[in-house]
Amino acid sequence: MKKERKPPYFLVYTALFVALAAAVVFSAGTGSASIGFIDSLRVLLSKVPMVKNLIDISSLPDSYTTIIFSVRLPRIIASLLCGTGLSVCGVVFQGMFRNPMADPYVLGISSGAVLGAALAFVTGTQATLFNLGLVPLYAFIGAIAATTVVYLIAQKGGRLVTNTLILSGIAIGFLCSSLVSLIIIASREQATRIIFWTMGSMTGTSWQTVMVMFPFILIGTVILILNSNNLNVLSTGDETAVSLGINASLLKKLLLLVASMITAVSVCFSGTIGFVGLIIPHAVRFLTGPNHKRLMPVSALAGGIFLVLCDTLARTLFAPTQIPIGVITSVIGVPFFISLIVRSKRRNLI
Amino acid sequence: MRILSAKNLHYSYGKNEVLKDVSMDFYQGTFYGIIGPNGCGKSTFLKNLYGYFTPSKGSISIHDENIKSMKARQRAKYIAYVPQDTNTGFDFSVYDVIAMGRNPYHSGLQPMSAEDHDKIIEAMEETSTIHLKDKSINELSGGEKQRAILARAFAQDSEIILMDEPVSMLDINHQVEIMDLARSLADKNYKTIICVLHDLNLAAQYAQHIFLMSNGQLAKSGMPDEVLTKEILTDVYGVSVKVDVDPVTGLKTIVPLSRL
Repeated sequence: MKKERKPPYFLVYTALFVALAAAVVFSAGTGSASIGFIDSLRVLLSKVPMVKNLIDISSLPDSYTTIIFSVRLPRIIASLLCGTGLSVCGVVFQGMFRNPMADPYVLGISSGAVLGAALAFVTGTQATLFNLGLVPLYAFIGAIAATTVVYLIAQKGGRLVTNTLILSGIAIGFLCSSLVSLIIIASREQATRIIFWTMGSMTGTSWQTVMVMFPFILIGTVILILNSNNLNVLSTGDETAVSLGINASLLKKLLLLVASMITAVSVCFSGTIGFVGLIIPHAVRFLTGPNHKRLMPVSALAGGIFLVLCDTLARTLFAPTQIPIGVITSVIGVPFFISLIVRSKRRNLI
Repeated sequence: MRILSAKNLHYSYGKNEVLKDVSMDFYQGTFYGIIGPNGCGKSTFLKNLYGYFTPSKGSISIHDENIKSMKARQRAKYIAYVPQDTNTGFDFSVYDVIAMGRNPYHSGLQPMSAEDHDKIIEAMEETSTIHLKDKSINELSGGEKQRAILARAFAQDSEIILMDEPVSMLDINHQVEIMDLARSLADKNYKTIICVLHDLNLAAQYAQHIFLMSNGQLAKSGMPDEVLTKEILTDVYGVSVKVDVDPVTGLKTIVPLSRL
């Protein structure tokens, strides 16, 4: 990059918000009952205060409202939250670990979640909690437990050593995966469900899901975005960060806690959707550069849009069969990502 | 004016005591050289000074205030640090890297003030890095990178700048450039520069006061002429040296003698 030409960020954000709104409307209008973009927009606007009086949807079938508000919208919002959460956490983990290979699952969160979900499947999941089922709860506990163990192994006298953290994350990840394999072998009838869960799916999401996810991901993302400057400094290394007035160990603990919570909440309902948390931060970094003040909010929006579109494909491409969303994120994401790498002059990702 | 003082400092890595009862005083506007054999505790000492390590015993005070009672942000307003490893990780622009020097004066997403911007420009002018400002930090040569990191320390607007072997990776031209710059910060801007050096000739040339460390202790403190003697250096480094006075510069030159 010879001269840093900064895109006008006001326009970038406006464009992203418009794209996000368009993705939501498009997704709500697409599916086995094809509603179309315009009618979908009308139905959605009919619930928006201020403009709802201007919209007349009496000519549209009542079923449109039901399909959009009870079936599709919660799923769309859950995808959006998931995409936002995983992307922002990807940014944080890459910045904090100064490692372009890091993603939200680097500390064993995903493996822990799968183990929790697998245990829920084999122990029977008829019981429910707030209408949400026990799988998300077990998955959440698994995710948090795995990360806690990783953290306890890696922290030494209050200091967090990055490489130790990553290594213990890999170790605990392997342990959890092995236990899941064991469960699959011992309980073959659950094997498909478990494997399907590891690839992620938004099928089971509802308004209740959204209600649980929303506060965690919103508050968490705001906290992370408020720490963009600190993350910039932290990404130059602990020693430098301390000399520039950052309490590095405290900051790392805060970021780890918040990012782990967001990731755990993101995966526990939908399964471990891969690749989003790795490629969105990279793709966005090509556009914004590494400054987290721009990278973080743009990733949050881009990740949301990406996952909404991926989920739309997941449920419509081979309808009525639903494809795991993790398959879509990879099938679309990998070629896009490779083209970025090939075309970019900025080859060194870090 | 005494600005920074380390009193009876002890520091251990696990059971290994790296600093044993080290006391040093630093005064404003002076260029200090800290020298000593590998593993004598020079770098560890610097890391204690800026708060990366916490001493196991003893105290460090800036203007007679113990740094223990300071927040990281406040401490950073007094002490800047130029690390040995200048790798900054991600592909930040030079401007962004130098602007990080203003971090102690901000919290959260607070935007840069006009004063911040002026300090950054001033730092770039002092270090002749202004033409590099839009370049990526990873594109710079070793000398340019070191200047940018020094600019970041300057932008930090601290009275004290610590440097850990700032020129060990540079050729002689860039060594002189960086060392001249550091020395002029002391002479012209009244900064207190505390510089860990391997090269004894550079120490002889630039330092106004030298601390010689050995085995985690302060072996000798004084003017370059007092510290850089054949007897002391041979004793501490364990190698014979020839010490002369250069007829051109009038400075001491130190040549280690081969054992062959």
